[in-house]
Amino acid sequence: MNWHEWIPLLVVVSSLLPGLFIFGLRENSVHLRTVLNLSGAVLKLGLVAWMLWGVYNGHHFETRLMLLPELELVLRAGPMALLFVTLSTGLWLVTTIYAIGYLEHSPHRSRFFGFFSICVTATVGIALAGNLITFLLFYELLTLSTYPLIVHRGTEEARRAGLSYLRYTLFGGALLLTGTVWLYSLTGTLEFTPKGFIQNTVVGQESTLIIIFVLLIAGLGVKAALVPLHGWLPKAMVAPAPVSALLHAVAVVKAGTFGIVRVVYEVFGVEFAAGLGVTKPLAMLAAVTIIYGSLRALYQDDLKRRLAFSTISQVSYITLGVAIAGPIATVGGVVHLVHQGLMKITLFFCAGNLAETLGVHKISEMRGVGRRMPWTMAAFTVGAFGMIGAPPVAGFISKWYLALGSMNVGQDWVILVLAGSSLLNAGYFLPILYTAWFQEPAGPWPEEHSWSGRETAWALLLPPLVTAALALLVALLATSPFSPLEWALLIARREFYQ
Amino acid sequence: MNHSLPAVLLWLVVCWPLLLTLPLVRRYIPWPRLLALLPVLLLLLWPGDIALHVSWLFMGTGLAVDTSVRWILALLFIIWSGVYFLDPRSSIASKATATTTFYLLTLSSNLGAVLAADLLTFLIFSTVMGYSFYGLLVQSNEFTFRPVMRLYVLALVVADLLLFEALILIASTGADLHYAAVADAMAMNSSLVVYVWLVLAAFILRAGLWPLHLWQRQLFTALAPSQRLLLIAVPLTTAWLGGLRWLPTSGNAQQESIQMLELFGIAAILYGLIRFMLRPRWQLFLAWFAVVLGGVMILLWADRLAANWWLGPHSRIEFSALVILAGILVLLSIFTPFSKKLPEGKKILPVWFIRVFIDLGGGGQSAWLGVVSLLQSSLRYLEQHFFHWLDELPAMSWHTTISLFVLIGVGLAWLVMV
Repeated sequence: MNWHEWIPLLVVVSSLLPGLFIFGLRENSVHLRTVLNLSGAVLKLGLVAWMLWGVYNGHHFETRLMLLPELELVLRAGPMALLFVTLSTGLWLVTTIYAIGYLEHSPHRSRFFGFFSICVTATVGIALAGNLITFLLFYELLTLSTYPLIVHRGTEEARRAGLSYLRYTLFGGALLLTGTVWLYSLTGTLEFTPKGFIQNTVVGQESTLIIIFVLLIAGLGVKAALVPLHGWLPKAMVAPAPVSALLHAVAVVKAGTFGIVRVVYEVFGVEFAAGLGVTKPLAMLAAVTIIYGSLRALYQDDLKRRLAFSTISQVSYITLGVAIAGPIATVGGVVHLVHQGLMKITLFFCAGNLAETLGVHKISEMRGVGRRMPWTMAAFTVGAFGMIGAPPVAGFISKWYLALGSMNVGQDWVILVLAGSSLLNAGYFLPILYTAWFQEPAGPWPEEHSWSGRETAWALLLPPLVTAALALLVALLATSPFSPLEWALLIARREFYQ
Repeated sequence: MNHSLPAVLLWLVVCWPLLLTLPLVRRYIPWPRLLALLPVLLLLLWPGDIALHVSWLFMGTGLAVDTSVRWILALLFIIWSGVYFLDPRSSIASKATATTTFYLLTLSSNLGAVLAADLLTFLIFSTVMGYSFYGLLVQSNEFTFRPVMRLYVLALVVADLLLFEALILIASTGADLHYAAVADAMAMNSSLVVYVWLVLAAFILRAGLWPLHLWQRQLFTALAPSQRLLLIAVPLTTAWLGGLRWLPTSGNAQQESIQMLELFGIAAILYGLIRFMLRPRWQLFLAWFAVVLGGVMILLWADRLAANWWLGPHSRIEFSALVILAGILVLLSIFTPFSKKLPEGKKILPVWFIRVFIDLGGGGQSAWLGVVSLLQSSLRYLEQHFFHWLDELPAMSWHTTISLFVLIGVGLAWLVMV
């Protein structure tokens, strides 16, 4: 193997090895654990940056390892893979810093960070997967590695949430496996190919292909929280805030949605899928999920549950963009992968700050919290306005391309869905901002710790400020080179015009 | 990007107050609210038209100043200076307060919206302006103002959505988003009549024009003079200007649309006059006069749609008229009394409709009624958290009824004319 073949593998194992080592550390080995965590994250980011530079200069990065006869584990750095792996790696570093601060006095940190590292390994493996079997392997590894994170607190509620999560995701995994095996039996290949590989390998058998599509989408739709497979997500909010942030912005939900993108574009091909008549029902399902999630979010008083239902709604924008089956809508869906990640992780970081610093879990308890924690709420405000789709935050750009894309292919009804969703988003985010900034506190806040004049620990304060700033920057610099939008445009051009 | 000094000055007009919103920065600047206006004064004194476009900033951002914009900028300079000197809080060392942050953010975005050279830039700045204005008024007023301000923010959210949809309609034709491109897009695509009505509805909401004038009327009645000036500078002037900017001037708009708009304008003028004459109180004069001037503005919009060039096709008489109308309001704002609190009132008619809708929803144990239950829960939440405070609004149901009847009359008149 030459260095081009090693890099993707190194990107994956750069978090696996520290994670395995962390499992063996004693609880009081704080410094060593921190060093391992951060060095793994920084090393991964460095390797991804090297890969980005290499791809930009025309190099090809691919790892192939034999799994079974005629079945290989393939890791490949294509444009779509690089988009997701950069997002995952960047946000993992930020989340690691946040988790170190959040769990400072918590028990079982070695266990937590061990599984945390494996979770990110799985996510990066999903991003770089070059075929459906590799994707499936890392997809199931993600399920198994996130379960301990959800049940980390060990309470009865956490165990129930973990059980629910396992039921949903293992069922989804079974559907995905069935669809994958069936597809392999028909096509003899599972390699992700631009514009799909099915139309070149299968003639006729439309009904079979439709069933396979349903199986794959249902399997992926569990993690993507498509209605009615979303039930595990609000319950999983019992997990610590870093886990919620990871689940919603980086790992689990994104993995499911990313899988849907892969299946539509690089397994079936968007035109072939549209010809089968499966994209329109997928778009309808995404639209229903968008509105349903927003409606459920409206009357949640628990902040994290409101954000969870918001995630269910927002992540389906990506599925909607893909299912509309047009180049401009594709840009909107793909770029929302990044934008939603940045905005949602900001919101969850802020929710974690409020919980950890002031013991605030409900929106009704947030009266006047903006004066007590102004920087945290400022970051929350940026994330919230982004979710509503107000300029100049990143969410506006996603909605712009989705709306324009829908008109471009004659799917004007999507604009009504987006408008309704934006209205509902305003309905459940603006009251939070009003409560935090403009209402008087119900009583005195808990006594302050010594944070050197800051509103909370720096490890909790810095990550949401960074991600909020990024949510603004990716919008303000949207049309500059290397922005997520330019990347999404490249992916759309590759899918539709090459 | 044009790196010359005028272009830098143009940026400074928007960016300098934006920089001062940071408490860390304005800690070292004396009189930040006043000094934030310094680039505006310099720009007013700088001769000639200036324009710049930054293609890499947020999908392309453009600012420009010409003769008509210069007049509006001068008006805003006077208004914001007046706010500073009339507001007693500006004399207090309040650099670190949230009020000052909202104030400067509102100023920056207000200036940005006026200087915007294209539809998208206008939308960005006016959206930020709307929310920061909300924060400014809520922060600096009593609790009794909050229900009215919630009505304002609801109008803002809906208006922003409508403008977004309108923008998408223009962008979908392949046109760029400069103001002049709207007329060309409409000339090539007759289905864009929807665009006109989206824009009109949006700016009627944003400016609080009749028949959606409730929040504006309440605020004009009760706010102190300095804040009345803010009301004129921020939502009113910007929305009036927005209507002039966003509406096409090619004369391709449907005649029916123009006639409907003219009827609306006349109805608004008559409504304002009649309402004031029914209960002529000096304290209510400004509020009803603002409704009348809003009607005049609607007529100007209709004129622009019809491309009625009073003084030739290159005249910008509508912009001059805007400055005059706003100037009249400014003078009246300073010299008419205000009540400091909003009057008592009964429940608003629309809430009853929503309550009936909820009651008719019923309940049920069947699985399919789970959807109805979900909608019921959502509507109850809306009722509890949104319409409940609508009840608090100091508006009487018969006011709304009069507006509804006048609207029906306008609709009937239009049908007869068509």
